[in-house]
Amino acid sequence: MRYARQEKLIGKQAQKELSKKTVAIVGLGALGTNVSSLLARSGINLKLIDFDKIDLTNLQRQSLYTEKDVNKQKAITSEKKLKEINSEISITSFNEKLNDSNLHLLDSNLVIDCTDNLTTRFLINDYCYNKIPWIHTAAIKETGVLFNIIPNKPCLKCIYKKNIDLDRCEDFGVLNSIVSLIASLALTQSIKILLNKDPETNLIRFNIWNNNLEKIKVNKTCEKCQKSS
Amino acid sequence: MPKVFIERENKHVEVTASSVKEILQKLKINPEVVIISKNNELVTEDSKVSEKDEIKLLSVISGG
Ligand SMILES: [Zn+2]
Repeated sequence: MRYARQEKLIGKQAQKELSKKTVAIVGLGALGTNVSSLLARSGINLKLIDFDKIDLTNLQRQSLYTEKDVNKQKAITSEKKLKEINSEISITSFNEKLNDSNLHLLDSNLVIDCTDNLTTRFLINDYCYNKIPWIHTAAIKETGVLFNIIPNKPCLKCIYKKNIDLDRCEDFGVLNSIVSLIASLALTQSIKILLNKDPETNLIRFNIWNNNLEKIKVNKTCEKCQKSS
Repeated sequence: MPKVFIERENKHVEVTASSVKEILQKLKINPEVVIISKNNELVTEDSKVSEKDEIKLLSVISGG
């Protein structure tokens, strides 16, 4: 009953399949809270990873948190909120910063990158390489990006060659509408990847201020991908 | 001349150049802070450009 509206679109069997899948979310900020809420409502099991605490400035866009949550741990708070949304799925949380020694936390059917830095993204890229599908998402100001990284297809290093210091939301700001839009795209792509239904192959970029959508073709250009193809 | 869109400045310019590398040099843009698309396909600095190409210099986005 709970998934009746979704089942009408994807079918009962597909819904059953989703109930057996687990998605690992790295980062429970704006993108992470929005996408985990959609995934939980869609009946998909979750692993939540974040080491940070909730700050008052997070409430503008980090949709699982309320005023009384300020200073609490993001991972534990998210787990509690998501279990209130859906008690029928499995949700585990890890109050940890992803590093070289705990990458096994990523073991799942799909990883969604909701982090805010390239260092962690390159860790995910290396660990998941040709093994676990993952979705790269990011947003700043009024622009967001999404790219599906599927085994044997172009990887993150085919887009970003180097780890550099980049614009941060603290300094440049971000609209809550762009993160919620990118989270919606990520939920849709999650369902497509988990059910093997032709996930998007292009790099998607959307500017929500001028409604400009770009679909950019990505080729295998990094050393590793070129060798393996 | 290839048309170049600089996202950060929300500006279109025309640059006389035969490669992406040359465009970046002429516009004084650090190649590490942008991703480059040519006719909606991601390319590297070495990529050649011609008259009709539409180049976009898009900012690397990292926030989450
Ligand atoms: Zn690659």
